[in-house]
Amino acid sequence: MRKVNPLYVFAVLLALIAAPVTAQSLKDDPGFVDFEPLVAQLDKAPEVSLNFGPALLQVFAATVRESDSGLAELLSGLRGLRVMVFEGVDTTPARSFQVATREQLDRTGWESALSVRDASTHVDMYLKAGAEAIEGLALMVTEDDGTAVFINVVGALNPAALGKLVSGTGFDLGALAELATQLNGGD
Amino acid sequence: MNKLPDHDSPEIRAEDGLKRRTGRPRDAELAADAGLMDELAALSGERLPEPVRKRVLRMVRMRRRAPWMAAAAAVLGVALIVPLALRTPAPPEPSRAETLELKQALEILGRTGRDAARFAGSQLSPHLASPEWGLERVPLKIFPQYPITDRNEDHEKS
Repeated sequence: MRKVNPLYVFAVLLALIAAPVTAQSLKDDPGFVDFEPLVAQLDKAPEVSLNFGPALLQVFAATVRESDSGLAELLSGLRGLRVMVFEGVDTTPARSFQVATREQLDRTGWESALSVRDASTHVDMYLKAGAEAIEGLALMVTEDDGTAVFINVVGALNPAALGKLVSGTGFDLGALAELATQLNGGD
Repeated sequence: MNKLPDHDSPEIRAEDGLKRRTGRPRDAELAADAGLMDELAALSGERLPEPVRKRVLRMVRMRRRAPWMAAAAAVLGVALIVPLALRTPAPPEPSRAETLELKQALEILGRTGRDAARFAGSQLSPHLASPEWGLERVPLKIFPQYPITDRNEDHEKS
């Protein structure tokens, strides 16, 4: 039998181990929804664009744990938070993107939790249910006045925690405000 | 499972015949191989000088050990490098700007969720109101001992 150079085996082993370490990203998470193409379609930067990954969210969870364990518990269940708010945009491409995203979510196992329309406002909220927790939330709101809000929450959340986050009740953001006043030199 | 060849098999007999052959085989390639083997067998097998012989044997032994040493080095390297590679560096402390951004993101999420729920409620509530059946009160006195009263007045009192 032909002998295999052990150095080749070592190189292949290292490559196999390194590949999953480098390939893990939020985009591979089942609760992730890619709202980035919307920026190109609207040809306008969002008024508010906030993006938090798993590492930073866990840092916040650990940082506020002493002052607010409830908020820390909420943040520890998050792996990603993406918020985009557009103002004064053309509603047509925004609505098209909303419809296309709805169809994509319907195809990929997401469940529609809320879908309401009237003459000027379209609201869609989708949930991605996992085996033990809700893995993702996608909230899309478009209004005729040119306002569009797209939010994606990624994580492992129980329904009660998700309800608190989406309603903005049951937890206090004072710990974050206090943390902001304590921090300096970070801007 | 591998089976030892039968010593009486045709293939073994043919191989033995080749080994004991006295003449050249008919096949040209086999004849060339046989000729080379005869020439090599005819070479004198002089023994190498002892120091050279020892050096050659030492080199052969080193070559045989080299793959094992490389494999051992590879295992040791993997055992050392993989834990270092998998260890994620400690994230830096959040900045004031990041903290305010997170606060803003959670506020927007809560406000948008409340607005969405309120909007959904405003769309649903007209469909949830009880219809007015508009039934006329039947003017029958089934139980004479009880006076007929206006049901709407009873409901308002309760």
